[in-house]
Amino acid sequence: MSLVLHIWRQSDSTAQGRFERHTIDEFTPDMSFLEMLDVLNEGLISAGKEPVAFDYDCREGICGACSLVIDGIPHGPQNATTTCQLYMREFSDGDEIWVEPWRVGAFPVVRDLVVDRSAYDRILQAGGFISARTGSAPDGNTFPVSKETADRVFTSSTCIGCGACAAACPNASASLFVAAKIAHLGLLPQGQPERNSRVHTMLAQMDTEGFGFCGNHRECEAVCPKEINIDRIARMNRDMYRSLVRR
Amino acid sequence: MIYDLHSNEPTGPLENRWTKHRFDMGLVNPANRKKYQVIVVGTGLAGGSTAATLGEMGYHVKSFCFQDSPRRAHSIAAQGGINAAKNYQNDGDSVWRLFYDTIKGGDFRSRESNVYRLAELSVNIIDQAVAQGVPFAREYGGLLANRSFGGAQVSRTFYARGQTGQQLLLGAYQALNRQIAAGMVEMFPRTEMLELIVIDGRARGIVTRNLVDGKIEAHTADCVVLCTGGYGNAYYLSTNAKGCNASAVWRAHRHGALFANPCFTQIHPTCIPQSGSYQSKLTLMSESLRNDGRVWAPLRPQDSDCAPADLPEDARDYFLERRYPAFGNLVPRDIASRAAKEACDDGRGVGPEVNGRRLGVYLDFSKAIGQLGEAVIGERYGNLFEMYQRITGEDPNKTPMRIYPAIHYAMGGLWVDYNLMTTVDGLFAAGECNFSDHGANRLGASALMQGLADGYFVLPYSIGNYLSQHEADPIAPDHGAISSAISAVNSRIDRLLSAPGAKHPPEHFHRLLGQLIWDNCGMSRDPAELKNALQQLPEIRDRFWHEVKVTGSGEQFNQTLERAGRIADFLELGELMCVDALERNESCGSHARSDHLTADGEVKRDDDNYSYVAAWEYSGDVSTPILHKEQLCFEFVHPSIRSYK
Amino acid sequence: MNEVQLFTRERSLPAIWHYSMMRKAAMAVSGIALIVFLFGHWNGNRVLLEGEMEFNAYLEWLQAHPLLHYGIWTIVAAALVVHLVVGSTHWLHNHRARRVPYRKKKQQATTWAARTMIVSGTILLLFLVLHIAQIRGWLVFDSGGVYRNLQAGFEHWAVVAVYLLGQITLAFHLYHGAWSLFQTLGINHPRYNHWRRPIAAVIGVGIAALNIALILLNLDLVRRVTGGAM
Repeated sequence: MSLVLHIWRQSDSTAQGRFERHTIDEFTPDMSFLEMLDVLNEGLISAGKEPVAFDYDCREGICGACSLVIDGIPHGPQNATTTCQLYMREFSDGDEIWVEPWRVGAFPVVRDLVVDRSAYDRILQAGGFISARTGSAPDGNTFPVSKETADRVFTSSTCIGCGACAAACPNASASLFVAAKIAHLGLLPQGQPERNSRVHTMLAQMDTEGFGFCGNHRECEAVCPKEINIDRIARMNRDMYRSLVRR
Repeated sequence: MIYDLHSNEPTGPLENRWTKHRFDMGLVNPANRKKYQVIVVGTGLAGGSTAATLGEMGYHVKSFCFQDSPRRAHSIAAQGGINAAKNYQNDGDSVWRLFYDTIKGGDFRSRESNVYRLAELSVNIIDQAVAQGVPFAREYGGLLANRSFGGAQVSRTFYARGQTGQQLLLGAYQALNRQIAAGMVEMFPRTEMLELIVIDGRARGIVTRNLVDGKIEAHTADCVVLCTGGYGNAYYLSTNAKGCNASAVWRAHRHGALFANPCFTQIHPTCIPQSGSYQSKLTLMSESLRNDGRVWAPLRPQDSDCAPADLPEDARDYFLERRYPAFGNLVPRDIASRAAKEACDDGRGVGPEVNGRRLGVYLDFSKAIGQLGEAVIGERYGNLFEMYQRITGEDPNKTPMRIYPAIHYAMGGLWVDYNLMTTVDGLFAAGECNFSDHGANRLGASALMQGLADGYFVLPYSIGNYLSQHEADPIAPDHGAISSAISAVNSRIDRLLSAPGAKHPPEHFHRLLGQLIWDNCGMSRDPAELKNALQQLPEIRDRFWHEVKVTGSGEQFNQTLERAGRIADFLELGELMCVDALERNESCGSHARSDHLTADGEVKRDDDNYSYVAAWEYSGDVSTPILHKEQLCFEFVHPSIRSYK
Repeated sequence: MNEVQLFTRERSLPAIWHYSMMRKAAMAVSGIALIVFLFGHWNGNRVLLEGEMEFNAYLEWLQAHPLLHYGIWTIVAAALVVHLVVGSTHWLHNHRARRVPYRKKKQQATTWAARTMIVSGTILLLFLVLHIAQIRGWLVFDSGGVYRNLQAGFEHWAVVAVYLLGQITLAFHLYHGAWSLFQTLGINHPRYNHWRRPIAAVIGVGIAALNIALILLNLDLVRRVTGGAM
């Protein structure tokens, strides 16, 4: 099987980028998309050229390092799947595929398909935590948490921070990412003391980073590899209003 | 150099040792803590929790990770759970029982005091994690749920679906974020440690490369903590993340930190087999699958390319059930792994042929589906079946899964004393990168426990103790040791970029190394094969330095250069693993020697001669390391023999 | 500043205006005000069908109740300003937030209505300008009062087309806008979420359909009236 790739190449954050055309002559359905790029890269290195830079680490869909907008969709055409878990059997012989980095102003390109997602870290630094000094914790069973709540928390805390939500959003907004963390911490009894201040500080940081503003397009939940629901965004908004009337 | 391997463990009754030791340790006055700088390399469970806790206490911490965010450290991928002796289930668990199970699981090759402390601290970890907002599974009444894991007879494993590592790491990462925001921790993502700075025998800093722009920098501190994970990627294919590497510990080793038990590497039996030579990593499937799945291989080698459905029952060999009637498909990891390997070595492996071999056996759910129905099985393993189908394109409901063992965890690592300090003064190692708690074989759900115990509850004390004995004294940036460390890094990078006969990308050599040690220092080790590997390794290393091709420059984002540097270190570590495997003339835990098996093929431990920790010193020549032994003494438990017949 | 003071300051109007999310909330609330107004406005439009005398009586009644009249206008004008300011500034910001556009982008969930809010909003604004100009007498088709100017306008097919286009645009704008405000205002519940989209559709299509029905009925009436006079 063979396919044509148009890959974004950009030597650093300030350089002008461009698409580079590559023909992949041999790939098998059991190869992952990143393994296909590995093969391409080894060929490029052997030919004395610079390989395509892209982020990856665990290659099992949990670390959130891999990115890539594959043929117009962050993490590619398969639902609820990160790029590293996308297999070539999703493509057919002769396909022409465009591979681009996350295009979000707040995620500047580092090189080729690698972007700088530290904006997400800074948003979490602004309040995405529960202040629990090591050693001061009460027994784990002190505050019961209903199974239902624990399950709901989990469906928010499963976020891997990959950035696909902002990459997919027509407005390049980070709302789903921020809302997932606010829901995770705000649903738990341990997260209550900082619940009001958290939503303020995190939302302020989100705006400072230069993300776009939520337009309720729902693109984020459609591409989220962990299928986090936009209900979290509505909940985050409610938390904000709540914080204005309560102390 | 002569190393006096003092474990510095306290004496007296086991249950009082940590309490006594905490009292004996020196303290740093809260007002003085800000004068001290601590470097923490790695941001997984151990590194993240260490940096966060030290920052909280008031030390000035510099934290480093090679990933783009501290949240991506590979602890995130741990699935199963975390053990703790809470005894919430009232099923007879206790600190003593967890201690005993861990020591026994480690095949009596770990230090009693350390393991007891680990069991003791396990309960605090759960409390800490819950307080941070880790959403552990709950029962309907709202209390924490537990499950039994890895064949344990008590339910002591806390879990968050199949993503316990992720949730715990996010807890530590959030604690770290809090300290970053407070200005107590300075975070350096996309920054890789390439050298250790040792001044007057003390670890005083590291040299790093900024992976974005290639800038080489020195960072100095009053002590250095390595939490850089395991070295399973030496085998090329493993369940580790692609970026996992041993460079930091290897640099430390070359500066005098002894490397303990390098041959103890754990192999996980239920991974998805390799599908082709391009394969970049192996994916783990939860061990729980063996509760309902039956492991088999074709009885005759000529059937190995038949479709499983075409093979009648009498053409199948349910080899685990046959060989271990009592435990059947639930035998421990090492035993299940070895049995699968033997079936494939007999030519009875299944699945696609990769490099002329079929490496896989079946894990068949048809009997369970027949008895319980697809719905029940789907409820138990639905997400795992989905994952399997996503990767292989096959539906385990219709055709048996194919599994094969893969390297999963490294029990070996830098030798540390009870304070988690290596043989280099002021250099600490925590988490998977030290050797301390798992002996020759790690129990399921114990890795997360160890990383967090070290980071939250051990290092904050032992580092305080160490610093209390040293005045805070900053190093002048123009110190000779710094400039020589920087120039060593630079010349190594130059060498990688300008191999005289450059022709192969670095992965080429990594695959050669991986295949060699997987075949010779993997699930079962044979002295002749090990000697053969030891002969080949220096050749591969020479070829690497002559032929490795790295394009681009050192002053840019260059992933090929990053990998080449890591592979260079793996090529040296791989040799030490083989040396250690050859030296240990016994079978124990993960280390099965073909010449030390019982008549019916089971592992035979030699407690009289090998009840020690093999700690290797770098002699200046990778091929001739010097062995130091820390004799293990068992005052409280009596080494017994594992039997699963 | 202690924590309480800090929090009071954070909750002051200028402070909360700094949160994009609160500006979105203002947009949603102003949208609701405009939707409510549109229903009331339709009720006024209805009088148009009853004839010139009735319509003028309605206008007189409005003028006799200045508090109601100017109250409504103040709210609507304020809502419009908020809606316009937030809508346009956010659009500008969002436009820049991507920096480099995708060469290829496949939309997964968003609707055509959602992606064209700025376009539909601009058309509506232009329509509003025309409509107000006609009512205020800046655009003269017949100088014999508001009623005659409106009716004379409807004799031009272009004006009818603009009115119809305005209503269709309104339907699209509300199809996304009315759905979006549930999200923005945090009105969600798993049990009722599936009703949000139909409600938005009913509001959008409903207002537009009611207005279009009036326009069509009115056209008929105009023809009958003029036909009778000639």
